[in-house]
Amino acid sequence: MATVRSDQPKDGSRRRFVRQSALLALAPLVGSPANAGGDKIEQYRMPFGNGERDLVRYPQKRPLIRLTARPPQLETPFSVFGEGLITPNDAFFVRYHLSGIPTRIDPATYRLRIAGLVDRPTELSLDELKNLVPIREMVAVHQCSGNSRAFFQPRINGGQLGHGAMGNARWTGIALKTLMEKAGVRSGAVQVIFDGLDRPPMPATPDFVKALPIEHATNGEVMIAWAMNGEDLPMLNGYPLRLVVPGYYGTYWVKHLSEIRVVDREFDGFFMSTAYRVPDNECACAEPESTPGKMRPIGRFNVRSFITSLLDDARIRNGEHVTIRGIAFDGGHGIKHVDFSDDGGATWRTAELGLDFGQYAFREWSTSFQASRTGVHELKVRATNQFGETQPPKALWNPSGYGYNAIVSCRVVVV
Amino acid sequence: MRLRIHHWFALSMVIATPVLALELTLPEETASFRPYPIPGSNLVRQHCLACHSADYIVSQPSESTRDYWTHTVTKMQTAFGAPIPDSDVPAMVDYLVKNYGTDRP
Repeated sequence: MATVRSDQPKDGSRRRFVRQSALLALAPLVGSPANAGGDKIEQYRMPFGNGERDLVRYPQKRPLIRLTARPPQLETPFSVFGEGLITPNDAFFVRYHLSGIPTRIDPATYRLRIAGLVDRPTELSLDELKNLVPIREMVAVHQCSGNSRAFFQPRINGGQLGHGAMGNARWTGIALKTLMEKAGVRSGAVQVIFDGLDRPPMPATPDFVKALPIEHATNGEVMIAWAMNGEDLPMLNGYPLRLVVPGYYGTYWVKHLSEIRVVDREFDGFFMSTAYRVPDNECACAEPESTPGKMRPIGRFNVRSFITSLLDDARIRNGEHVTIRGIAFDGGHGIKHVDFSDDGGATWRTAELGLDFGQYAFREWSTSFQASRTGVHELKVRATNQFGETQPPKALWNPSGYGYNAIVSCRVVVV
Repeated sequence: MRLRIHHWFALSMVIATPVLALELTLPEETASFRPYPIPGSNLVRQHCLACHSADYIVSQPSESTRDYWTHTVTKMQTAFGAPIPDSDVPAMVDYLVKNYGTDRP
């Protein structure tokens, strides 16, 4: 099996293509086409079949694993998660469905429309939005529904992602609830639908529009964010506004949010009624290759955990005490405990949990490991949440390969 | 009180600071379809690249079956509005399963 070659530039050499202050944003930002600026395209090998990728530098981003170019889908190299609990903006993954992505946005003329079943439909400028109170800040994990899909065995078609379509960021904005109260939701409201500026390539291609039940939309947790880790959203992560739906898979986190519409019936657009659906049962799973009957829209994250302080094929000295670190997260119930195994899952011991940055954030864990023999060791980690939900040894099959949360292994070589 | 020159300067910077548009240029797409001497090769290039880059296809696992490629091309027509004539579909599927699927020689 091919190992993942992690050749990230160190902190100091990371360049930023744009500064968010007006004084400096004078020239259009050029993402280096192939070889401009002397950047040669580096090859990156994902640890699964047909896993050769290019590392490409996009505007406002460090070199990331490119899955697709048009529209762009960029994956974070896994070593980034070992650099810190917060995923930097320039390393954060990118995922679009439609090739008509915005590449030029004027914040002065940008408007967010509130429409539909409301007393006071309106259009808000960014300044007006940012003057609303109260301001909300929340550290929350964002993860693609198809994160880790390439690790299903047998393979499942769709975006062939490793574990890098996830990230942990501090989001700043206002609660959608605040906006809904300002607009005045009328009785009979069933859902809120969200549209962004990205557009389909063909007239008959469905637009990317998502919906949430009115109760969820107005529960105070769903946010409209204009900042990520204290800075404007990168363009490719939804500048200037995106929806943040804590604990829910990333499909709902609409980028370049332009219209919020309250409706009196269930929205049946393609990306709600056909795509992003899972078997309607407790495990959101089915027998492999089956055609499940009832399906429902994907919801909260399945509980997950990773080892981040070591990559596959790391070398450890026999007898040496090594601190192993990692992350765990779930869909918002909170992590109860994390267990670690150094013998391929034969025995487990409880790891220590780190500081709690909130129920929606990456939770750090650590444990000490002292090898007593040389050779290959298979390290595993398994998280359990406050609801008692834990990770399965083998991924739970569903037709679209969503929600992968099998226990992951890390292979180390003790010398 | 008359404003001194440096006060005017500071004031003008505050008033005149524009908030400029954020604009970016994307890197080129580099993925391409493997040349293969059957009619589907050109049809795939023509029909698929109209909406998205080749890497969507090229990155699929090599276990992808003829059924999968048939289902997928059909999905492009019916769900995504791709203007692909039905008569082109068999040739396209043939190319796809021979280059990016289980019929690879």
